[in-house]
Amino acid sequence: MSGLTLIASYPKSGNTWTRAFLASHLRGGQPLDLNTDLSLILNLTSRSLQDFHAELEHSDLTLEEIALLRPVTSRRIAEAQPGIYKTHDANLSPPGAREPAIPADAIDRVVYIVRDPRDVAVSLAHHFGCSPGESTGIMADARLTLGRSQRLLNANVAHFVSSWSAHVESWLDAADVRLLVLRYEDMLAEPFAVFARLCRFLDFNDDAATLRRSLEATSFPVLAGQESRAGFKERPRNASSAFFRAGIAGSWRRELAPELADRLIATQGRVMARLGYG
Amino acid sequence: MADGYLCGWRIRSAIPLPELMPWTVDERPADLTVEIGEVPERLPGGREASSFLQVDDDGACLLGVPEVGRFLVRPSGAITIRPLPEASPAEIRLFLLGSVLGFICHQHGLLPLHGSCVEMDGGAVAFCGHSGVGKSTLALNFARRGRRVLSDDVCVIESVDQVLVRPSFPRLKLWRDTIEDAALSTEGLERNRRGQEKYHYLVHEAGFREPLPLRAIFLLRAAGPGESTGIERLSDALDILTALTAQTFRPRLSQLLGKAAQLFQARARIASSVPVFTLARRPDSPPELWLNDIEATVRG
Amino acid sequence: MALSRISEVVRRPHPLEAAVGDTQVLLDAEQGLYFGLNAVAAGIWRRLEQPLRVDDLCRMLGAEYAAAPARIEEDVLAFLTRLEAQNLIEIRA
Repeated sequence: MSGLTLIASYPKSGNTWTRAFLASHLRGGQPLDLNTDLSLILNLTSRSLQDFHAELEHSDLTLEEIALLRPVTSRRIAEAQPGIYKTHDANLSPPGAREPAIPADAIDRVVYIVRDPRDVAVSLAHHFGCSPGESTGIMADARLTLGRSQRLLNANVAHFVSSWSAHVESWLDAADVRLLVLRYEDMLAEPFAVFARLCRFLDFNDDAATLRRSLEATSFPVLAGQESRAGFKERPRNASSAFFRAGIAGSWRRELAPELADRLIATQGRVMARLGYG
Repeated sequence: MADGYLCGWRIRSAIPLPELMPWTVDERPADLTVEIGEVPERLPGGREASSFLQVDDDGACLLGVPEVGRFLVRPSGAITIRPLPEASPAEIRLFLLGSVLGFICHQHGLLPLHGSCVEMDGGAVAFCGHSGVGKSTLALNFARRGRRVLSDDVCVIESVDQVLVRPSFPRLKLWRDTIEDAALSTEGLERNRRGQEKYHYLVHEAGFREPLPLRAIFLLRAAGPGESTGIERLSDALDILTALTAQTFRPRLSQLLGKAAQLFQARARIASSVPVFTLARRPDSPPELWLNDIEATVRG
Repeated sequence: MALSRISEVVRRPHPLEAAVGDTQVLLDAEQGLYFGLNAVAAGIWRRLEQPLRVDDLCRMLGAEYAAAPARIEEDVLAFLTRLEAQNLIEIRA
């Protein structure tokens, strides 16, 4: 493997679960400690990782400078520390930059995880501690950049996310990239088959017994139980609920007001249809 | 304009450097000079050392910060800056007294650690760690206890017979919240970068102009949920060396400038003679809670 | 080249080294990796400054340490194998 293998997604779409599975699977299906073992699959936008490879403190740079710097740093990480990384970066050039933060030549392959945006809206509201109306608005924001606070230090450096639809299509239609698209709903419905495909795509062992162990070690009840006992360090401090909340598909039917669901269809409907979210 | 003191060097600058203590040591000619002038975009024969940085075979370094300007740093000590019209004086000094200071250290084979440093009982105590881990906040708290501040971002270490810290300047880079938590005001302070709620806070009364023996290093880190907090001494030689390498400011540059062996010997000397501690604390616990423990640990 | 008791081995020139406490530390600057040697290992490392046959090295160590020759040879071969894996020594014959 050379270059970066990305586990890419819009936020709250099943990325952490996938990382947990891979972390367990890489260790032969062993039980995992959420707070230490996820480091087997690093977060590409982690401030310390980016500072280290850029040899610059991103806290001393403007958003535009970071947007210019990130592709250079991505190539550097691809060369010096290739491996599997999680990211919420869109495959789009951020404002002021000439290329995406992770250019195609730094990428080995991409697993893109997508989830029904109506469920994302509910999950995002819990995660950010905002209302579903606000999270629905965030998902329509074509200029959305996360990790950009000018008031205090974020654990991530600025990364351009854009709107839900733009994010999804930027990866779905990526040229020159080996891509596997997984729907979160399929991962839940048929975990064995979907995670086996994931393993084969990553050239990992897809032996049935190990797969089963890894899935058991990282099932929702196990992860959520661990979080409530030990806490989970990646959860934002202003989040209104646990990071691992429900782990089910379709909860929007109960938790999302019908007019918000309609608004999502109005703003994201075309891309939803592409993925079979009717 | 009076010459300034920077890590034992006499610096003569065409732009005001209010962070620095005035030079009062001796009558030597300036070791470093700062001029405003033309700087090419590319360093002839230069190699990409890291993002925004080129180095040539003579050891000259060219840093180009897209919205600030270009900085050419020759091994002779001559520094030329080509600022962009929109750059603020504080932004220019941020890189001159940060990245550029790091280059000068590597050109001289000195070890720059990424950390703050304060005086304690006639010695120097350094606090290293990732951005946001509380290095500057600790230095501010010690300054308010009347301790001298030797450096904030770049702690310059000379390690020949003895391990010494060469004082940089008493300026702290602080977020608005930290300033307000300390019942100070951001009024009249320069911003670190335009639009950013991070400020340059000068504590001139805490300045110092003499190298001090390095007494201890604290590696700061955030304790995760379920992890215990506290101070622990590192004992394994490889752990200490790996940590010192990780805390080196602009580490790849030493290799490109042919100073890797010198830096290795400096780190080994520190590992042999200076106690290195880890300090794990909860991200939301105020750093000042640790001041007494740190002082007690240093006194041993 | 396979390592055996009649192999001749010698240090590669590139690692930097320094004593830290009772550990002899090597730095492979190219790989950026540190290696720590205890007193016995550091003694072997010192002898490898000049090319040396493995059985000669074992004889020298046998004169220094009270251990069975077979045990010494086993430990020495294991240690040299690790040094070779890290590209710190060269096996010449």
